[in-house]
This record gives sequence, structure tokens and C-alpha cells, in this order.
Amino acid sequence: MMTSVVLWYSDTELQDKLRHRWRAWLANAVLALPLVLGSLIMFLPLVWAVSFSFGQPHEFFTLPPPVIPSAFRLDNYHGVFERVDFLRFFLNSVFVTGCVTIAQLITCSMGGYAFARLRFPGRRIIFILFLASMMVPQHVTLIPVFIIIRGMGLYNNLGALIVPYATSVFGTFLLKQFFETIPNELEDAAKIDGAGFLQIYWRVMLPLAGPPLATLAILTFNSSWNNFFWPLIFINSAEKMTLPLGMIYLRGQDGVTNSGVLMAAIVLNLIPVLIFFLIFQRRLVEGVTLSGLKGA
Amino acid sequence: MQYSAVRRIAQTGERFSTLTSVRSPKAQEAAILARQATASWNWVNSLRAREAIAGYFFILPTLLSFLVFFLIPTISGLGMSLFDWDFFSDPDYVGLDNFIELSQDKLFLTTLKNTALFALFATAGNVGLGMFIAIGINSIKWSWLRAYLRTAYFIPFVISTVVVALMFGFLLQESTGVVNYYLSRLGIQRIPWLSSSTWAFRSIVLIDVWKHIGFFTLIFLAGLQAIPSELYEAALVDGAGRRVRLTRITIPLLTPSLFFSLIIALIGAFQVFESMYVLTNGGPGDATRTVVMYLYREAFGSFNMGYAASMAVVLFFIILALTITQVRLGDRWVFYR
Repeated sequence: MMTSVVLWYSDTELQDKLRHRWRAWLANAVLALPLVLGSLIMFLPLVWAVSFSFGQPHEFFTLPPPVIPSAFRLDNYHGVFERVDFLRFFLNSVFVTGCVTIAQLITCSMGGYAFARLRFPGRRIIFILFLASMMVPQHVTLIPVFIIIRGMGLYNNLGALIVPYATSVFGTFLLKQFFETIPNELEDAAKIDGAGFLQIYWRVMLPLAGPPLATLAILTFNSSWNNFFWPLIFINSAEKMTLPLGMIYLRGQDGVTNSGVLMAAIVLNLIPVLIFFLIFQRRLVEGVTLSGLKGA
Repeated sequence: MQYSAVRRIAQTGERFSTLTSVRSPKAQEAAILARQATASWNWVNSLRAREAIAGYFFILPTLLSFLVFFLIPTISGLGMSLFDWDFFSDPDYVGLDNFIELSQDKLFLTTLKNTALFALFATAGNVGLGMFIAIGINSIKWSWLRAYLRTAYFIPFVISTVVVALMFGFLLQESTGVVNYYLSRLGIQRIPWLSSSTWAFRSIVLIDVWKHIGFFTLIFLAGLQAIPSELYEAALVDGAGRRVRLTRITIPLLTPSLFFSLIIALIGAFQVFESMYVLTNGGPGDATRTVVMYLYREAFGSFNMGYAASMAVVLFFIILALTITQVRLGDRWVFYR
């Protein structure tokens, strides 16, 4: 044992190597420490929300507030379902988000295919106009769109949250960029076999577009699920509310403001979102970086 | 014109060739020419036209939506700012009166100031901190830690602003809030997070940074991965230290991401609404009231549609001017490889 240690120390080359490694490890750790502490700030509010959702009302006024509640009581969760039709909010959100996402997948891929692959008069001008529209804040169009939606009879209707979002310039742009990278040979081969444009779109282009479509679906899902401003303007009855607006409605009920019931509702909101995040994390990250790189 | 001419030549040629027996060489020649003409015309007719028709068909949904929900509303939104309209009676044309009124409206100027300050601090926090977090994450050697940190900072981005605001409203209560409790344990006095006007503003900025920093971190991480490693290797050979590598390679090559982030962050920040609406409702006083909040109240609370529309127009031109300025200035400091 002793001899081996002595031998070990006498090997200066190894010693240098080890010292070097140790220093690299230390440098890494010093660098990582503030970042890890910062990441705790990201998690802490969520952990607190969960722990308070199980807490009892009297616990909120005792100091120190218990980080782990005295008992895992579900009273607050019952409280949510007693006060509002939370399931209805959830189903409305699922319905609206599902429709918007499916509609965008279809319309954006169609538009992207046409802009990338088909020649027709006015193509460039229309596309430039589309892109320019991304610069205009939605509040400029707010009041006229409000009037149009009312005119369509969609006021206080889930359709008001779907129809204006059935397509997007961003998605069209994303798919156009992708379709431009597909080699001409594939399309030509299909043409020789007598395929029409609809068939080329459906049989050749769409099957290849899995990755960008997934990216678009996830980004659309996320933004539609979290949309608050639109429901705030167009929805005024509780049974038509989606989750974000439903949360504000719940807060307005008796004794809910800043209570465990509200925290329980928040946790109920977080669960599907975090599941969604864990499943699609890679695609989501790809989507964000892709849209970032496209702009840069 | 051309179409009918080609068609006629083709038809006569064909008729000619079928009528006369195939013996005559001239007729044969004419027939071949005619057939070619027909064929090429048919090709033009079918493919070009069909392609154009298909093109319009495929963009139809997007184009319709663009017209109905963007182009027409934008034009009428701009027009509406020139009217006095309460939604129920006929609109009155008032010229630029709405804009003159805005320039003297103390509340509007306050909201404009709040919005600009919010945009300034939130952008600085999100983009500045996001960049340094990304550089930090990128230089960590352990990939598992990099993956963890990226995920951790990004999680709040997927949570809706409403939920985030409600959650912080609970945690940041002055006397019973858990944040203040732990701060007091550290010997820091209770902070009136949401009840004093200066702190309410700061809290809103902090919450915004909490929610969005992961997004900007991701954009910078993507930018960092695009920097070729040969540059660092070459710098190492030349004996460049950590700091030199950071200031001479990393930061210059990150400027495109920085430029993009600044534009995105400013456009978003000028339209901020939700967190204030949920958390402070513009208060205390008007300390956290933004332009969009005022616009929302004027349009859907007081039904001053024309006045609200003119605010949107002002907001639009501010965003447009800022973006154009940034793009102009960008030529000077953004480094494109």
C-alpha cells in the first residue's frame, strides 16, 4: 500500500496530469456553481406552488410557511372543482389548441409548398407582403378584427379563438424554407409518373416534411394553449373559457385570491404543460433555435 | 392572340395532313410542324396554367386569412385612428385630433414611459443575462450538466404568462409571502414586491426575465454552436487566454444572435400586457400600466374605438422606428462571417 502511494507520487508526469485534471474539474465546478444556483431560482417557485397547493389555509399565515405541508390534503383540489368547471376549461383548451394546430399544419404546408415549388404570377410580392405582416403588432388589427369576428357571429364562440389562427405566416415561412431544400428529381419523377400537384403535395412533399411539421405543431400548440388576450376579448361566458382565462375567472370567485385553491389550479395547469414539455423537449428546443437561426 | 393563331395553324395543318394522302412530302412536313405546335401549345397551356392555378389554390387559405385578418383590419385600423367612434353610433371624422389628444394625455404619456422603461430593462435582462448564461453553459465540459441547465432555464417558457403571474402574485405577498419570509431570514427587510410602485415595476421586470430568459439562452446557445471550433484551436495555438478568446472570438461571432434577440425582445416588450393585467392591473396608481393596457381599457371598457386605434398606430410606428434604427445600426456592429 505504502509503496504504491510512493510510486504513484514519484511519477511526475502522472502527477502533472492529475493536477491538470483536478484544476480543469475545479474550473468547471466554479463556472457551474452560479449557473446551478440560478437554475434553482427557475424551479423554486414551481416547487412552492406544488407544496402550497396541498397546504391548509391556516398554514399560509403561519411563519415560517412550511415548505413541505403538514399533510397531503386534497381539499384545495376539491375546492377548484367545486368553484368552477375546470374540466370544461381544460377540454375547451384541448379543442381550440387541437383545431388550431391541425389547421396550421394543413394551411402552412400548403402555402409553403406553393411558395417554394410552384410558379404563379404575384408569388414574390404576396410572399413579401406576408413577411412584412409579421412586423405589425396585433393591436393595430385588434378592433377591426373584433368587428369582423362579431360580424361572423363568432363572438363568445370557440370559433373566435380558432378561425383567426387557422394559418400563420411564420409557419408558411418555416415550411417554405424546408420545401426549397427538397431535390427537384423527386418531384420530376412523380410528374413523369403522371402525378398532379395535389398528389405531389400529398404523396411526395408531406411525407418528407415530418421534422418541420413537428416543430410547427409544437410551437403552435404552445402558443395557442397559452393564448390569453384573444379569449379575454372574445369570450364572456364561463362555459366557453379556455384555461388561462378560466384561471382569472377562478381568481374572481369567493375566497380564491392568493389561496391554496388558486395554487391547486396552478398545479393542475402545470401538469399537462410539463408533461408536454418533457415529451417534446428536443423538438421544442430545435424549433426555438431554428426560428432563431432563421432570423439571424 | 397567340393562342388562337397557334391553334388555327395546328388545326389547318392537321386537317391538311389528314385530307391529303401522306404521300406529299410538303404535307408531311406541315403535319409534323403542326403536331409540334399543338404539342408545345398544349404543354404551355396545361403545365403553366395548371401550375398557376394550383399555386393559387394552395395559398388560398393563407391568402384569405391574410386579407380578412390582417390586410383589411390593418388598413381600417389605420383609418379608424382618424375617427371618433363609440362603437354604437356613426363614426365622426376628426382628422388628427386623436393624435393631438394623445400627445396631451398625461395617462398615455405615463403608459408610454412605463412601456419604454419596461422594454429597456426587460430586454437588457433577458438578452444580456441570457447571453452570459448561454456562454457559461456552453463552456461547461460535462454534457449532462449542460443538458440539465438548458432544460432548467427553458422550463418557464412553456408555462402561460397568466399562470406565472398568478403564481408570483402568491409567492410575493408582502406579509405572508414565502419569498419575503426567507429574505427576512437572511436579514433582508420585507420588500413590498407588489404594493409599492417602484417595487411593483421591478417585480414585473423580474418575472418577465424569469419567464423568457430560457428562450434567449437557447438562441445564444444555437449561435455558440455555430462558431467553428477551428477558431478556438487557432487561438489556443497563438496562446490566447480565456478572456481574449471570449472578447475576440465568442462575442464578435455571437453578434448576429444578439442582434436578432434584441429585435425580437424589443418588439415583444413593447406589446407587454398580460403579466401587468393579471398581477397589478396597472397599479399601484398607474405605475405598471402599459400602452396596451390603456388601449384595451379604452377600446373594450370605454368604447373609445378611434382613440384606442390611434394608440395602436403610435405603438406600431414606435416599434417600426426602433426596428429600422436597429437594422441600420446593426450594419455597424453586427459581424457576419
